[in-house]
Amino acid sequence: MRETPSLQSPPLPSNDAQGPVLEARGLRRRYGGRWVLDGIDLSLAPGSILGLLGRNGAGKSTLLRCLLGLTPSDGGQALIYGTPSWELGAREKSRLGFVAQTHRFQPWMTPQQMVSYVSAFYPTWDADLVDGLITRWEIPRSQRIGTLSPGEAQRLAIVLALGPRPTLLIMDEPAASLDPGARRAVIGAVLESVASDGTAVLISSHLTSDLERIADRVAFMHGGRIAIDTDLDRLKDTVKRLHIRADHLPEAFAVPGMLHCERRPDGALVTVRLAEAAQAATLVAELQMRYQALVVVEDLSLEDIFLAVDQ
Amino acid sequence: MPTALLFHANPSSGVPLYRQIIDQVRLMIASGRLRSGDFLPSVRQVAQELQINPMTVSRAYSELERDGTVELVRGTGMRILPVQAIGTLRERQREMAPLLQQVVASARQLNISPTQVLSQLGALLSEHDHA
Repeated sequence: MRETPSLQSPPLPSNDAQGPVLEARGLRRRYGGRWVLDGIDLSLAPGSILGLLGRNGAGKSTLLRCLLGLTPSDGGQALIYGTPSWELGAREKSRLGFVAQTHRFQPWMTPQQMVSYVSAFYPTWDADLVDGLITRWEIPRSQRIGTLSPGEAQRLAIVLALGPRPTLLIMDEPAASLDPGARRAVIGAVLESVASDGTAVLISSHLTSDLERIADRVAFMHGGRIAIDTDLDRLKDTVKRLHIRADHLPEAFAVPGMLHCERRPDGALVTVRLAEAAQAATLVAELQMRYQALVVVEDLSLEDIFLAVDQ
Repeated sequence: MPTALLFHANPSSGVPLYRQIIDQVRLMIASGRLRSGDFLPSVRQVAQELQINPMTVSRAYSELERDGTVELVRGTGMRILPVQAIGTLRERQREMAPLLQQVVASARQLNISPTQVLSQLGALLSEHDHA
C-alpha cells in the first residue's frame, strides 16, 4: 500500500523556540589548497541581526553558502534549526529567505510571473506583503526581468526572500546596487520582519553605516576565521582611540588591549579594546600620570573599528 | 503619550545607539520636556521611527528601568519616575570623571593654570546655584 501524506504534518519552523536558528561548528572549506573557511564557529539566535564584516575575499560569501547547504563544506558542521544544512528538507527550507550576491533569474520572465512561480514553493507566502512591496519599491511588474536595472533586480530578489515571511533571513551584500532611499526601505522591511516574526538575520555588507543602524551583533572575518564576534553596543563601548600627546614615550610603549598603535613625533595614536567600558577613565588617568601625557579618548564608528581590527 | 519623534539617532557616532537614547531621555527629563508620570513611546514605535533594531531600544529602556529613571507599567509602557539622585556619591563622581579629565587636558593645551581653572569652574557653579 502506498503511503499517503499525513494531514497532520509537523509544524513549520517558527522562532518561538529558544535554541539557535543557525549554527556553525568548526566549519571548514578549502579552495585550491587554501582554507577559505578555517574553523568557523558562529551562532544566531531568533530576533538577532548579525552583521558579517570582512575584506573582499575573506570568505564571507562562501560562509553564507556553506551555512545554507548550497556549497558543501570540508569539515565541521552547519546547522539550521538543528538540522545539518546539507540535509535540509522542504519543511526547514520553507521559512528561509536568501538574497544571493548574484541572481539567477529567468530573464524572459516578468517579476509578476516570477512571484507566482516562487510563491508556489512556500506554504507561508504572504501575497499581500509581496504585492505591497512591489508597488512601494516601484518594481515594474510586467517588464521582462532581463531588462530591469540592477537596482530593480536587487529589490525583486529581496522581495522574493521576504515573501515566505522567513524566520531565517540571510543576505549577501544586499545593498550593493541600491541607492540610499532603497537601502533605507530595505532596512525598514527587515526590521518589520524581525518585529513580527522574530526573524534571525545574517547580513554580510561593506556598508558599515547600514549595519550599525540595525545589527545587534557583528562578526569580523579574517583569514578564514571569525576574529571578533560580539555585541555591537559593547564593541563601541569598549573599542576606543586614544590620542596621546607626550614628550617622552618609551620605545616599547604599549597599552593593555592595544589593537593598533601609530607613533607620532609628539606622542601616539592608539586603538584599544578594553575589557570593560569603565576601564577607559582608569587607563587615561594612568597614562597621564605615567608619561605626563595629554590623553583624549575618541569614540569610533563601526567603520573605524573595522579598519583598526583588520590591520 | 509622547511620540517617537522625541528621539534622534546617529548610528555612525561612536556612541552606541542605546546610550544615545538613554542620554536623550535623561536630557529631556533634566530640561523638563519629560516629566514624572509621562510615558516613553513603545519600543516598536521608536525602532520603526528611527529605523533601528528593536533590541537596541529595549536595551536602553531596561537600563533606564534598572537605574530607576523609569518603571515598567504592565500593558502600558515605561513611565518616568520622579527624579532622584542615582547611585552613591562615589558612583556619580566616577560618571563625571571622564568629563573632568577632558577639562584638565584642554586646560593644559590652552595653558590655563589649575588656579585659573578652579576659579572659572567656581564661577560657573555659583552661577548655576543662583539660577
